[in-house]
Amino acid sequence: MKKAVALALAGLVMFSAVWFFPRAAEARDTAVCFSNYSTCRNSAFGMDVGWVRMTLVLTVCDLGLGRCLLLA
Amino acid sequence: MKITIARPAAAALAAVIVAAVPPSAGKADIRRLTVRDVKTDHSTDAEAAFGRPVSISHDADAVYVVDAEAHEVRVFSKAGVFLRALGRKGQGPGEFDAPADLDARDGRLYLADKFNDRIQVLDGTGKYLGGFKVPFSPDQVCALEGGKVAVSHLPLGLRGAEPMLHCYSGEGRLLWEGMAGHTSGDRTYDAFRNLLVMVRGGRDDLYVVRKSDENAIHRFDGSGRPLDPIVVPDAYAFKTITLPLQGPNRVLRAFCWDAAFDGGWIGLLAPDYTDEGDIGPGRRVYLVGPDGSLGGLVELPSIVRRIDLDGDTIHAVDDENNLRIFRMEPR
Repeated sequence: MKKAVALALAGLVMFSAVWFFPRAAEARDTAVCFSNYSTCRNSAFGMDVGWVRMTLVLTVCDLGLGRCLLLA
Repeated sequence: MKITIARPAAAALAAVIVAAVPPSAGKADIRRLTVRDVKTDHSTDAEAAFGRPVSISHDADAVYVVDAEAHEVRVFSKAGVFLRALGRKGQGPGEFDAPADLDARDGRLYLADKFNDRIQVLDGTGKYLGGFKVPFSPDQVCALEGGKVAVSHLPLGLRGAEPMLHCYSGEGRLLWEGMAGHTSGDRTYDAFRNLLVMVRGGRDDLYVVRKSDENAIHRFDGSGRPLDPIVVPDAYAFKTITLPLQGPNRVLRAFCWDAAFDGGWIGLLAPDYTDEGDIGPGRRVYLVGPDGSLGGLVELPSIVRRIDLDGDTIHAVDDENNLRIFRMEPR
């Protein structure tokens, strides 16, 4: 049973990876997403604010990356 | 302009520590040092108030504060008098995009030009002397012997355990890399675990302190060889914080907000709790000896964000973003 679940999950991961992997035409856009993500996180740490506030800002960066990748 | 680790200044720091009241026997407390505010007229000095100060350092002649918001370096005399500003926002030589750190050595200023993804070398007047691109946004920079430049960066956490330290020749050739980033799959938690402070210790050593969860000061020689770490004793207390919106890795132990080195001593700016229960910069600087002993505890009159040790003097930027200069005195 465990083996079946593990295989199903592995299959799901593989399928997701193939499904969401960007096609060549989209690769440029996802590169922009990751570039923006890097800028967002570096800016967040440059803000030098408290760590709880920083966590929230980093979460916004993560959400921004997710949204950008979905739209790419 | 010659930059060295000033022996008289180092001796002055050692003298202050030795003269401080020793801890009472059997108690786990530390020699306490008080400070005198040398520069007090900062409220009227617009150049000594910063937008987003991210780095403070010194050489034999001057104190340098990097303002990431203004995209410039402000230069002050050792007495805190504004001398000049270097750079402006841009991509050309001598221009910056969110400069992140500066190290002054042998008459040269080495700058981490964060969003231009490069290291720039300037003279004391801001004249461009050289530089090179790096394949990341540089966070901190240390100028080592022989023109070598150590650079740190914050990994994104998307490519596994990336090295966070990179050492380049003066021409930008990669010489060595080290200090793999922490990876747990939780990028926010890992980002905090990978926050570093990197300072130059002595002529050619690098001291690297993780800001959380580790009470060790890592050391590397100029060729990238790890040296024995300095373990800070338990008397130096962590501040524990529970991060919001996180998974299993929610608890962080804050260890250090900033660090500086001079004359064999490492100054660790201890984090503290804010009024809202967050973790922020504090007002205590612990002086750690090369053997890990706590040589002294400096209690500053205000919270500071960045520190720089210069003999018995601490240059700092306080939590209202003003330049402060403190002279240490034994209690």
